[in-house]
Formats: sequence, C-alpha cells, structure tokens
Amino acid sequence: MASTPDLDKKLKPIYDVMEVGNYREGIQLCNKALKKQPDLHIAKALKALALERSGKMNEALLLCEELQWAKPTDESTLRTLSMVYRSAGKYEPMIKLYANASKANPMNENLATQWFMSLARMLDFKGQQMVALQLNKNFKKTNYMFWAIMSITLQGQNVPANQPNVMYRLAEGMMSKLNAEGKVQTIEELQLYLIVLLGQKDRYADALALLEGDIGKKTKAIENVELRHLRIELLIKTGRWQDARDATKQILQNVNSDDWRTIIQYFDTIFLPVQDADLKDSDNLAEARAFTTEQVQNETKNPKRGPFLAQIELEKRVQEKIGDNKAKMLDLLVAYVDKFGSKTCCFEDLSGYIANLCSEDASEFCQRLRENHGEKSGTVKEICIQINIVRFERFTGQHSKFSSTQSMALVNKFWKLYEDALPFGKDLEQTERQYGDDYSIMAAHLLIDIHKDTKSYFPLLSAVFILEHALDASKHNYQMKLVLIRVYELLGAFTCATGLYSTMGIKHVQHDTLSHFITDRASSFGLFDEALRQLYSAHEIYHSNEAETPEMILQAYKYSTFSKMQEFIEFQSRLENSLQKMIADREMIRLEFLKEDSVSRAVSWLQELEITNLKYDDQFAESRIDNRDTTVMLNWNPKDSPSVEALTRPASQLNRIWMTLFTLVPRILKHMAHLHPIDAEYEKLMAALEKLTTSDLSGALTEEEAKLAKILFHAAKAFQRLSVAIADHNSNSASKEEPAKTAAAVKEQLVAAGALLKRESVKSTGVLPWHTFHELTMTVETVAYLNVVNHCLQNLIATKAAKKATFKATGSVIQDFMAQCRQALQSVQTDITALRNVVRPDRIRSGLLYEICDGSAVDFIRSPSHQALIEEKTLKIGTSWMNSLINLQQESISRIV
Amino acid sequence: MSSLRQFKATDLFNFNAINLDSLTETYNISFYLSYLARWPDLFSVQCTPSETLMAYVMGKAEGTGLDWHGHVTAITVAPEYRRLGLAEGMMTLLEKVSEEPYDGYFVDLFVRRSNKVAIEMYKRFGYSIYRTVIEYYSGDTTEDAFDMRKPLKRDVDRQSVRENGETFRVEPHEVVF
Ligand SMILES: CC(C)(COP(=O)(O)OP(=O)(O)OC[C@H]1O[C@@H](n2cnc3c(N)ncnc32)[C@H](O)[C@@H]1OP(=O)(O)O)[C@@H](O)C(=O)NCCC(=O)NCCS
Repeated sequence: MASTPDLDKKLKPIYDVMEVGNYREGIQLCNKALKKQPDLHIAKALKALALERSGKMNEALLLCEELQWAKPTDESTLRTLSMVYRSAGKYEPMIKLYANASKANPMNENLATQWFMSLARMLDFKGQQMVALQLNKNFKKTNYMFWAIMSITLQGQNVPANQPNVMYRLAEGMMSKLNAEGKVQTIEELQLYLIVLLGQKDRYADALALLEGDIGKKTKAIENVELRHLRIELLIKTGRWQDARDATKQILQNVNSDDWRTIIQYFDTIFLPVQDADLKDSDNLAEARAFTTEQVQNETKNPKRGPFLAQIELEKRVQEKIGDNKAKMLDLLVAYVDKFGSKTCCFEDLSGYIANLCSEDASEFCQRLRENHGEKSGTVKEICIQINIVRFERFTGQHSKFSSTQSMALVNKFWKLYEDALPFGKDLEQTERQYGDDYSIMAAHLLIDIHKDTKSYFPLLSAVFILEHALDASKHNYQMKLVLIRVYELLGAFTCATGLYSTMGIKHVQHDTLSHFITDRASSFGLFDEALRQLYSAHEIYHSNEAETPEMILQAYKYSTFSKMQEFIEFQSRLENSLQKMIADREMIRLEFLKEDSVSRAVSWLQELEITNLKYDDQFAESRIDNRDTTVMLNWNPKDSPSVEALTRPASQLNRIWMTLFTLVPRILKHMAHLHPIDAEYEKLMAALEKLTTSDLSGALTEEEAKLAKILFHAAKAFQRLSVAIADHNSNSASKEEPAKTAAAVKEQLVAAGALLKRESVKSTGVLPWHTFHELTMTVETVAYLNVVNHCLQNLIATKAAKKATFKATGSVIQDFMAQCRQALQSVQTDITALRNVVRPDRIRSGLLYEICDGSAVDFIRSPSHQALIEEKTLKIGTSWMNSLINLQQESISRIV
Repeated sequence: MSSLRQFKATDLFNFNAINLDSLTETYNISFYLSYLARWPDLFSVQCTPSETLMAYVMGKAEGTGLDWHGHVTAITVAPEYRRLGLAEGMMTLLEKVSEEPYDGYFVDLFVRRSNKVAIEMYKRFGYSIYRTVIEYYSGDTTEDAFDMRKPLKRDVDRQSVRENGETFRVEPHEVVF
C-alpha cells in the first residue's frame, strides 16, 4: 500500500489530531476509516498507537497482533506498529514483520535496513549478519559489509580465548579483503579491524602493523587518544622497547605531562626488559631517574602532579625490586605533601604508597609532616594541609589506638578546627563546600568508631547534630548527606534518611548504583509504603534501559561507531543483570505481599503472582552483576579496617543468599496458595530452603531473617506432610498414614516453628535503633506468611480431603498454632504500646533530650547556641520513630486472625 | 596525575563523585549514549590510577559551511579535584580533536552569565564572548547565556570571533545549528 495523494488526504486528519495528543478523536477517525476500508492497515496501526498512547496497552497489542497476521508491507504501517511494540518493550514481533515485508520487496533498502535494526534491538547477531550481507549484495554499500563484520565479531566475542575462533577468523578474512581493496578508510573501521585481530591469540604484531601501516597513517590513528595508547601497548607487547619509550616520552614531554597511563607505560619500557637482579646498575634505571627528574624540573608554573608522582612510583618500584630505598621514598612523600598538601586529592594521591609503608615508616611520615607544618591554620592553604595531615594520621592507624575518651577529645578538637575554618569561607558560593567540612565528617567518623566500641547510640546522635549543623553552612555537601543517611538508618529514623536522600538529585543510572543507600532492608522500618515508593522510583532505570539502550545500539550502527558496540551491549547487560535490580525486585514482592492485609487477599495475590522471572538457581545468582557504588563515600580508615560505608550498614550487605531466601518464600507460599499437590518442583524449593537453613548464614542474613527461613521451612514441611497424607487417604493408598501420626507430624513441625516465633520483648533505652524495628517488622512479616500457611492447611482439609473427619486432630493442631501466631502479634503490640510512650514529643523532651545533653562530653552539644538544633533534630527523629510505630501497629492489628 | 581517555558507556556506573555535586545534572541514558554513538572522540574523562572518575567533558561537532565547529555540551570536575588543571587538559584535547579529525573552524560553548569562575577560565583558555543568548537557561530562574568561542587553525582570518560580542543579543532559537 504505497502512499498516494488520495491516501495521504484520508490520513491527514488522523495524523493531525494525534500530533496534538487528541487520541480519543484519533481512535474515532481510525474507526471511521476502517469502516469504509477494513483492510486499511495504516488506519489500524494508527488506532493501535492511539490506544497505546491513551494507556490501553492490551487493546493496542491485540490490534497489533491482528495486523501481524495480515503481513503488512508498507513502511508507515510498520513504523507505527514498531512504535507500539517498542513502548510495550516487545521487540520480537517486528523482526518477523520486517523480514516479511523485506522479502516481499527485496529492493527496498529502507525495509531491509529496518529488518537489520529490528534484529539489532534483540542482539540477534546471527540474523544481523545474514541481513547485512544481503543488504550489501543488493545495494552494494561497503558500510553494510562492516555491519556484517561487526555482527560476526559479536558472535565470536564469547568464545574462550584458548579456543579457535571461527567467527573472528571469518571476520578477519572479510576485513583483509576489504582492506586490500582500499575500502577500510575511517578510524572506526580501523578500530573494528583491530577488535577482530586482538580478539585472537597473539596477534599483537599484526595489529601494530595495521596501526603503523597505510590505514593507520591515512586515518591519523596516532592522533586518536585511544589508538595512540593502544599502539604503545602493542609496542610493549611485541618488545619494541625503544620505540615504546620514545613514544611515551614524546607524549609526556610535549602533549600531557600528567597522563598517568602513559607514565605507567613509560615504566613498563624501563622495568619489563630488565631482570630484577640486574636493575640496580642498569642503564634503564639511570635513564628513568634522569627522565623523571627532568620532568619534575619542567613543572614550573602551575605544576601538574603527574611528574612528582611518577618519581614516587619509580622509587616504590625500586624499593619493591631492589630494596634499600626507604629513606628516599619517605623524602619524596614528605616533599609531595609540602608541594601539593593544600590539594584535597593529596591524600588520595599518596594513600596507596602510604599503605605500603611499614608502620614505623608510616609514623615517621606523619611525624615529619607535623614537624614541617605544625598545627598552623592561619590561611585556607594551611587549613587544607592540616586536614590532609589528619587524614594521613587516621589512615596510618593513629586513631585506632585511641580509647573512647581520647577519641572524644579528638571529636571536640576537630569541631573547634571546623568552626575556626568557617570565617575563611564566608564569601564562598552556596554551591561550594566550606574549607573545614572534612573536619566535621572526620568527627562523625570518630563518633561512629565510639558507637561501634561502646554500642551506645549517643555518639551517633552527636554525629547527626554535628553534621546537620555543618550542612547548614554547606548546603550541597553530598558527603555529609551520605553519612547522615546511614547514621539516621542506624538510628531507626527512616523518614529522616529519605528526606535527605530526596535532596540529592539522584536520577537515572544513579538509581542503580546509589539506591542501595536507601532501599537496603528499607522494609525493616515498618514504613512499607514509603519503602515501596523508593523502590519503584529507583526501578525506572531498568525500564529506561529496556527502552533506550537498544535504540542507542542502533545509533552506533547508524553512525558506524563500531568501537562502542561492545561497550553499549555491556552497559545494557550490566543494568539488565544488575544485582541491585534483582534485590529490588524481591523487596518489592515482599512489600506488595505485605500490602494485602487480609489473608484471603494475600492468598489470591499469591495465586496471581507471576514467578517465571523469580529465579534462584546458582547460575542465575552468580551471573548477577554488582554495580552498587560503595566507594563514593569518604573513607580515611586504615586499609585493613572496614570502610565507613561498611561500618554504617544497619546489617550485612544484601547478597545472593538474601535473594535466594526472598525468592523461595513467595514461591513456596504460591504453591501452597494454589493447594497444588506436592511435586518435584515443591521438593526442589524445599531442598533449596533446607540447604539455606543448615548453612552458616551469619554475615549473610540477620538473625531474624535466618529465623524466618527456619520457621517457613517447618511450616512448609507441615503443609507437605498434610498434603501427602490427604492424597494417600483420598486414593486409599497402601502407604497411607494413621491420622494420628499425621497430626503428630504436623504438630512437630508447627511446634518447632512456634518455638522460633517467640522472642523477648524489646527494651527501650530511649533510642529506637534500626534493629528494634527490624525485629518487630520481621515478626509481623513472618506471621503474615504463617497466616497464609494456616489458611492453606485448613483449606487442604476442607477442600481436598475426601473425609474431613479423618484429619480432625490435625485441625486442632492448626488451631493451636494459629493461637501462637496471634500471641506473637500481640506481643508486638505490647512492645509498640510501650515504645510509643517513650517517643511522644513530651517524653522525648523530658527523657532522651535530657539524657543527650546531661553531662555530654561533646563540646558541640554543650554549647548553648546549638540547643535549638539539637531539640529540633531529636524531635524529628522521634517523629520518624512514631510514624514507624503507628504504621507497624496497624500492620500487626490487621493481621490478627 | 590522571589518565585522560575516552569516556566509556560503563563509566556511567562510576561517575557519582562528579555527578552528586549539585552543579552537575544527571541525564537519561540516551543523552550520554547518543553522544558516544556519534562523537566518541569528543567525550573524554580524567580518572585516577584506581579508575575513579574525576572529571569529564562531552562535546559534539555541528554546523555547516563556515559554522562547522566543535561544541562543548558539558564540562565538569568533581569538587575534590578542582584547580588541578583537569578542565584545561580536557579542553585542550577537545580543541585538538575539533581540529583533527573534525577540521572545524572554532570551538564554542554556552555558559551561564553568572558563572564567573567558568567565564574567566574560558577567557584564560583563549575564548571570547561571541554573543549573549537571552534567557537561554529556563527553569526556576531564567538566565542569559554567553556563547563563547575560540577560533581554530582552520579559521585563518579569525572570522568566528568578534570584539564586544557581549552586546550582540540573540534569542535562543537563533543559536540552533
Ligand atoms: C569550571 C570547572 C570546570 C573548572 O575545572 P578545573 O579543573 O578546576 O579547572 P582547571 O584546574 O583546569 O583551571 C584552569 C584555570 O581556570 C581558572 N579557574 C578555574 N577554577 C577557578 C576558580 N574556582 N577560581 C578562580 N579561577 C579558576 C584558573 O585560571 C585556572 O588556572 P590556575 O589553577 O592555574 O590558576 C569546575 O570548577 C567545575 O566543574 N565547575 C562546576 C561545573 C561548571 O561550572 N561547568 C562549566 C559549565 S559551562
């Protein structure tokens, strides 16, 4: 159905109303057109699009399916269909549609290209190869050959390196033919050629020949930052030491003296050709010392750090290989601080080297810094140097030796230094950080140390006050916010944490890397809706990945940017297989389940739960990719101690064991909800759960989570026993069990579960830390699951047993267990009632607040000018606690069956 | 000491130290990847020896005829790595690439009128104001942009720049290439 003026006239009004978003009228107009001409494909496709845009995805997809049968071949219909399918995240159908259309019109280049693109969206490399070759045959454009070669290369990329790679060899053959014909002309085409060569074993020399040969020259490959780097890498790999050294020196002398990866390549040309034993008197070492010295001398105005660090790197390697170089190392390190100590990154520049020093040298280093710089804080520069010295002191373990009292004295000292630095920053922009900010962060780190030592929560409260106060003067300091978020979580104050998190502008791909700060065990605060909100908003990135990244892969084909293809595909896969995504998926299922507060609704929710994607097998678990950013948080702790990020996690980091547990729970419950007979699948789930409960879970799960696993295991065993017994009785099987025996077996399991459900009541010490909420929430959650189990056990007897009376004894066992579940919820309520009393604002004022201030060793807290802030923040924490308690109370009341 | 290299798609997982800063906006996937798919050599990053990202610049090549040029879309340096010459290194590279392979006449960029630090920096790098774009930045508060330019080798007669550019005022739609 080619476009004709007639058709265009007919469609124009439809396009017009669609363009302005009037989809309702669009649908009406399409209907009218279809009435006159039922096989007008484009009208049907436009109707589907209008339906999709007005939120009626299912109807839209039904229409698309109808159209699919009609095998449309005109481009506008196909384009419209493709829009609908894309927004539904369905890429598969378009392949068939375009294949069909293209076969019907083999000389239509656009259709064939679209066919290729539809395959590229699905990463169907083999299909791509075929279509690209066809495109090349029919339309004679070299570009299509490169598409084919790229597609072949992508098929070859997963072949293990030690195996012959047929695909790469094929790709290479095609490439070298094109090259011989002079058809490899651009940098990107050259890059593709290099990918093909370097994907094979020992092809360095060939790759180098290419880079240095005609195409390399023609494309000025050496001007390209990446290819320049690659060439040197290849020179090193092929042992052309002098050439490699000349090339690195040329860059360092004339282009970029600071370029670290080139500096490292330079050292490769120095050290790799010489045996360690011969190094000492070698020309190479002499030359390297001369060269690095010369480079340092060239840095006069606005010196770059690279050359100075190169000297340190050189002497470090000498120390490692020859030894006897410690004094020189120390001199250089101290000199570096003298020169760059006022730069924030000075600490990071040197920390790797300092970590390598023995403890005597490390203390000597710090001591010499103190000798050179004393405690001077009279200028901004001096303040920055002082902060770096303090970072080094912490990093070399000086703080680790301190008693709590000594640490506290240091907190007070840092606070004073922070305040003294403030006047220097009075003219800073709102968006900038105060010069002394890191003093306040380090004070918080010390307070976290004290909390870990003493288990008291008062140091954490002090950290909150100090950081919140400092944040006032540095509104956008995200480092303070990150520490605060974690400390609030430790303190059980979830809404305080989410409030801060929402000010950080965390978006898009950051949802994958950073949302763990707010979503890890977020369900434990009893604020289910808030936790779900956070999870759903972070989850958007995974939809974006599905919708956007394939289009970007197509862009890379469109612009022949072959060097980015594997990268884009890796990017897509890292999001698709993200560990955080999977954790969030599980957490969302938990919370969605918990939203159903009546047992019958919970049961039908489980029945409807889609579990095809709820995998837990080893292969699935191990192929999750951890993109979580745990290094962005500042950390000056000694290298062998846990980082601040690790220390401030409310519980162990969520991992694959956690994910297995929270995959098994809904799957087992779903099986029960359907009252399905015991089958191999159920036994597999039970075996996995048993394996989990019998392995060492400390460090992977919290005590409460491990308990949940055990309780559910017993309950599910009870279900299994009863289900099998009923089936045997129904079929009058020879192996059927005495009813009393069944009752006893079910009882044994439920008693075991009930025993685990008991817990001691929560004691309030004024602060309600994360763990308090975790314990209470886990009890409510566990009972929510057990309610389903009990319901299913009763239903088994009521609906599956041929003679109900046979299982009367079991019935009363279940009744007893239900009473235990009720008791568990009642004990939660008793605890909550007591806790709610403690966190009432008036009680906080007379209780917690008094305790915080009374005789505090923290100067900040004793200062009268901070009283208002302390009160405000404490009450805010109290409000968050109260919200959690109220919510949790409702959750537990509604679950009493 | 930093490695100046091309930005990789997977660097997006590691750019938090830069993008958590309030002055740096985080965009959707397509924004970054569409630049990478088209101008991979104009999108560079500076990183530490341990591959922590410190700074990046993204750019494109656009325009026709005498307007063919390199454009700086965004440049940003994480707070702890400022005043180390990282921006300078990245701008130098972007200018070099705009000359070879793109062979542009000039490099240009838009900067908020209030961003004194950046304006002074660009001036030091050889940029001058070509025109004022009225209310180019919208949002909570609207703000003018300066369109700043630096001629490249190809612009032998320095036709792409002019004196007193600040007084040439244009509407945002007039600066689309
Ligand atoms: C503007 C910005 C990119 C500069 O990055 P940078 O790596 O610190 O800059 P450089 O170290 O290369 O500085 C080069 C020169 O610019 C000038 N300069 C840069 N920052 C300056 C500042 N805060 N104050 C005064 N001059 C400054 C100096 O002349 C400097 O040379 P010098 O250090 O030898 O005196 C950085 O501050 C930043 O990311 N700001 C936030 C984002 C932004 O504003 N981007 C620009 C949008 S168009």
